[in-house]
Amino acid sequence: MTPHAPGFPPPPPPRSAESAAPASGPPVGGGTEDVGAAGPTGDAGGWRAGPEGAPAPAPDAGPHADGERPGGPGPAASAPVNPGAWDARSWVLLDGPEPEPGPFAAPAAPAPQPYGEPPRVHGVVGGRVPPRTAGDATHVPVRTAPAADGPPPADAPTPDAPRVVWPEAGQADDVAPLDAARVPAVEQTGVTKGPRRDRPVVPVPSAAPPSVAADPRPADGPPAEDAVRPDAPGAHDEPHVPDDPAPDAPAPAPEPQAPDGSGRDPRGRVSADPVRALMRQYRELCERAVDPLEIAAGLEARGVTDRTAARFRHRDVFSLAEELYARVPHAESTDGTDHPDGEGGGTSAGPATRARTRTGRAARTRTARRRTAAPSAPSVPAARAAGRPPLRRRVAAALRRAALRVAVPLLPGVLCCAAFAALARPDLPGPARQGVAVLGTVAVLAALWWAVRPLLRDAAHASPVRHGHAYAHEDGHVHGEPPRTPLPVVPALALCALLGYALRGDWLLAELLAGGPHPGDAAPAGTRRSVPIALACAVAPAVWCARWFAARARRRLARSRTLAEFASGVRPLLAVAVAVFAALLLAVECAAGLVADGALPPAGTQAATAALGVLLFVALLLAVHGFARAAVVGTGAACALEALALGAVLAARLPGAEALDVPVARTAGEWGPSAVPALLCAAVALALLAYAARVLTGASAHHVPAAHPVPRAHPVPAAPQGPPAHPTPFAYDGTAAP
Amino acid sequence: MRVALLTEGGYPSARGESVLWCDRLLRGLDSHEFELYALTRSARQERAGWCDLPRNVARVSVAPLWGGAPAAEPGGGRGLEGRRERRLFEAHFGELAAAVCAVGPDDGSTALADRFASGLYGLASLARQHGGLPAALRSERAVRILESACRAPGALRSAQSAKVPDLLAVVDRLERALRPLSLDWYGEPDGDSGLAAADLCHAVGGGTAALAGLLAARAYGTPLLVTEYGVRLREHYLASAADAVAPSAAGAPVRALLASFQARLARETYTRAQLITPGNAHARRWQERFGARRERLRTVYPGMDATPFAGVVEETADAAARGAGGGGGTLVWVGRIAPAKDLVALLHAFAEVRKAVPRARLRIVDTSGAHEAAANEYAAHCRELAGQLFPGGVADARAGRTADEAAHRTADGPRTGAAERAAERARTAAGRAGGQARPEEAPVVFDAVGGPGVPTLADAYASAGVVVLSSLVEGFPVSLVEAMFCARATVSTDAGAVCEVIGGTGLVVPQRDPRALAEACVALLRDPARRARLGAAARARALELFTAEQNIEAFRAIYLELMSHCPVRRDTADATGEDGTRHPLPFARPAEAHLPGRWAGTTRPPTGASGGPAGHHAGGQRPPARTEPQPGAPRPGTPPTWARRTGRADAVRGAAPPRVSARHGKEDPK
Repeated sequence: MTPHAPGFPPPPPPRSAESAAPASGPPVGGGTEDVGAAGPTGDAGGWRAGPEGAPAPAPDAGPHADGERPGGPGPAASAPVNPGAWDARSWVLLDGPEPEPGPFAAPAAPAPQPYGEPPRVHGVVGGRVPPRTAGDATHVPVRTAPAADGPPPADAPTPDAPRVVWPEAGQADDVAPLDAARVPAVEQTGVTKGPRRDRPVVPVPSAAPPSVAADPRPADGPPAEDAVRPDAPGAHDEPHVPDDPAPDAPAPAPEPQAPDGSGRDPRGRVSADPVRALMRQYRELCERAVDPLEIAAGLEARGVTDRTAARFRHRDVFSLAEELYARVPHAESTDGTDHPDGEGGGTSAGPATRARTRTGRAARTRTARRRTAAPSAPSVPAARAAGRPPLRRRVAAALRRAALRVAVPLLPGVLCCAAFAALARPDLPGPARQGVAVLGTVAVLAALWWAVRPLLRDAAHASPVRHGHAYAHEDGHVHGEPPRTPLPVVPALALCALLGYALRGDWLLAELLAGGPHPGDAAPAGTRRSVPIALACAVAPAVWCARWFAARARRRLARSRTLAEFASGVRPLLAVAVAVFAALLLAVECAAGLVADGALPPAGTQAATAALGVLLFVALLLAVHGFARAAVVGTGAACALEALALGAVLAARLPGAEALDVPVARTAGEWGPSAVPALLCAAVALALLAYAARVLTGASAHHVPAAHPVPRAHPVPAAPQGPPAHPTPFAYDGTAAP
Repeated sequence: MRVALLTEGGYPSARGESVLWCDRLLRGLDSHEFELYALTRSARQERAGWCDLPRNVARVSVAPLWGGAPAAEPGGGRGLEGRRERRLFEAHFGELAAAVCAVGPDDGSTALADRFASGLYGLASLARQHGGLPAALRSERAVRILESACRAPGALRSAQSAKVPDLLAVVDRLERALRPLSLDWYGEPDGDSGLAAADLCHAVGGGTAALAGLLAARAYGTPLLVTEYGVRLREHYLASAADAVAPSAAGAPVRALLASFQARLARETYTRAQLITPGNAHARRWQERFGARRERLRTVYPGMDATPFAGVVEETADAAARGAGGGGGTLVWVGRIAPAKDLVALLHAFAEVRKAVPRARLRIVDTSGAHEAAANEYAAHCRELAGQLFPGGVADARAGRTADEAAHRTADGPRTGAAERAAERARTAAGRAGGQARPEEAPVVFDAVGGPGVPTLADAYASAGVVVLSSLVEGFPVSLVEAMFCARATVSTDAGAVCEVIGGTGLVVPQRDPRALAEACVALLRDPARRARLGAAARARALELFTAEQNIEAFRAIYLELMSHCPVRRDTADATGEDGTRHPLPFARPAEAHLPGRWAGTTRPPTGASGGPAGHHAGGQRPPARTEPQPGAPRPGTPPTWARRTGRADAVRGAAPPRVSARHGKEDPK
């Protein structure tokens, strides 16, 4: 044994594996010079005995240093040739002061464990920890394993020695590209919950693992890591699955010197399946993966290299990932099949969202259960709540929104009734009446636009393509210009024309059929007040029915499996919406007639108004769901047809074209002049309805992009739009040190 | 020559990836004219603005990959409304969807790859001729086609369980990913603008960025060069895995289909590219896995600036000449303190080292900014651990700073944050560790760049005897390369690209093995001669492989090689044979045929007015592609500066050669 002396012991024999010349070209796995235990058998003993004069790291380490040196079979005599044995002794000799536990000793905290070595919580520094759980007892037999090699320490588990806790190998350490705030603690440490099973890592001595035939490196590194790796799963097992550590406790027979393969189970026997430990360690990653390459990327991000994979008898990380992918059962991707009221408009959202939305529901799968237990779930609502304004303000805002939704569509009806009530006063002078009429018309139209605009704006949110705005609801913030729903000129003109015809067209048609409007005839202004009142009051049910249809269709979308199923589910919804609206319109019209005119309006008028109302409602539905062109075409067609009817009657006055007005005249003669617009509007409405039944039952009409449901205050990464732009360790950015 | 630089989420936006490298490349290769075609990933990126563009960038076109699709062109074609177009679209998109949804052995079988390629190029041709592809991709028809592809017999297992919202989400993302097909970047054949006029397409990163290059290659034969420092596909997988635990996670079918699409696109890219340059062997493995042929792979290491470290080498040489030992027994660790760096193992290893080498010191230099450092819990814990392991005192040059910041923060208000707790802990740990030891004698020193002990990064390395890296996860180890520049011997763990970077000029130990790390450090600390040898070898290696100059020279050579081997088909350069067929005439159009800038004041319309399927948009709405001539670059109508200087402002292009050679000669000694 080299004489020990304080200071620098003699240098080790020079190594021969240095390559002084730089490798040219791209080196493939270049010549590595690794320090193994083959070298320092002699001199390491020297330097281990060296620090006699050096200040001991802790007073308690002194006795050990003293205790082992005079021992006969000390490091001198048994200069171990087996690097593993050397490892074993180092454990005995290197006991140092135990670092105090920091905040990382409690793994159940919501803050994610950033790395893999929390010092153990000790009640007494320097005291032996009483076995807290069954698993702890395993460290007793394991601890005595190295004792068989060198001189036994003072007593078998050195009760008074504070143990230095090496960083636990085999931990799933945190990974830079995975944002710690987003990845639950489960993934990061591999520990699900419970106190850390604190054992010093024992690198069970081993020769070069026979499985790694091509590994040129001495076996010091790999076995050390392998030996500790099976310990880690024992530490990582959930406390309610103590199968692995517990059976080890009654089997204290140590087998320290057995040359092991590249994987051992905690019992110290050679495992034929080293990948199993890896499976347990990366279980989350493997369960979530959709592709072996995703597992490969995740493994690489956690520091598994090809050489590590070689330890598991695989050529590279890809084949290791394929085995993991094949062996680990995947979390069911059909978690949300039978949840009728899942999130509207969302995709088959990940279990995290479902766990949050179904607070009272028992989770089905183990993954879901673990997710609900994961600290990220409670932290997310907490973060959201923290970011949001207080509850009262939110409730007030919600109430205000609801009130607006209810009140605004009622406005046109109210204004129209007010205008007619004002007109009904007999003491109003003529110009004032006209002024009131004009003002009332304008006000009603404006209120109509105001009521309909929110629907269109919501539709623009949903389908930026159809409405032509590059508008993104992303990151919880609104980007781009908000969708301006410009006043649609052509549909407005068509609407005005239709309404005008509804008000005055019957009279005009009757006059034309009778031979021409005579200038002296005054329009029967007050007789048909029910029509405009009914139409104005029908705005509210129209808006409500449209909203109801959209909401139900979105909900249906979230849980349908196939497009055909969705279509067959939405078709009755559409029919119901239209029918309900028609019924409400008729009811409103009868009520308006009773109130305003004192009598039920005639059947022809009712039919005409109903047809017009249904036409406008279907056009509104189409516009809201992104088929504005069809809506415009429909209303325009109705306008054109009505104008055509009037024109036909007028043209019939031309010599030689008397036959033109025959259909119109006959219809008007049989069922009254209001039958003409009724038939025309009904025809167009039916055509639009047929088109809507084909188009509105498609899924793309109801699609809300994924970024939309995110609440504003929640910092959501731009993942739906593409991978985040922050640099990963594998991206080279000149400034960022990886 | 004209080089089209295609980026996605990178240069020229200030917050992009690989921005510095692109900037260096453009400034280094200033004899070529560059046109930038950038795709932005998010609104935030667009708002962040652009970097300063060098002079040789003639044109920048930007298109968003986020948000809604561009509006239907006002005066353009009818889109895909006609029956024939609809059928074509259904056919092509069906092929694409079938290839994406099907399970295929991704080890060389080409059936699915061919279907994918045919679908992709078919859609591209449809977009060019008729336009309206985004609207068609989001229509009900597309969803139905995708659904039938998912339910087809050979589909992915997760795809078969896809529900309607999943299909919609996939269609959404596919439309975004295929947005480059509808852009007006391609120009007309034989035109003078757009990708048609480029002699080379250089895509920074595979994936969507290279999609435009693929189409240009197919349409015009432009050679495509793909440079990847971080494999785009791998980043996609990582983002997808991280996405799976996000609150608004996409389900497994969505992720599976998108991953499949990206994989097929990557495979197609690697198949069609002329040359692929990974940044290190770590990236190369992925590219080889996805079908890149070895003869087309060429590793070009990212370059770093070596000039700050030249001073260190001279100092060391002087000190060695004087006889003083360089660095003594100091181990230095440089980097951003993060859990992936495994400082805990380093501290444990140093505990051992100190037993063997009592005067050894460890210096941990934190290069993250002051703000990050203050809130770093891991750093605080390492500080505590060091305090426990080395009760002789741990000096923390940052402790004063963090204490000050903590004081400032408490002055602001009783906000308890993680940063404050960390600072508190640091202070109490400092107190517990027996007070501040003087940095000169403390065994472990925590420093930060810019602090009192380490004014610059070079000083950190100058004080080192051995540079240590104990990371668990590493990409390209920048600190190691800097240490190599400073001719310092290194000890590092085998992670990432460390092995190939070191290449035998330093010691590499396995990960998570503090003992091995300690032994290696001790071995080096005891042998100054060996340290010097390794350091010299490391510096030689770094100077040969990792400097910025070698990177630029490599790309210069690659450009010329690609241009000469794969010239772009230009009809004007073909010769007409006897029977009227056209044959390509070699060297009819050499690389110098196009020169940056314009030779004469032209009456031609500016280059940005090429009509394409997507057209241009005025005002209000966001245009799909924003093309603007670079302010610094010569405007389309002005002659280049040197022409003006010689007084021949109206020189004709044919009279170029003498001035060209002079110009090149002038620029050669750079």
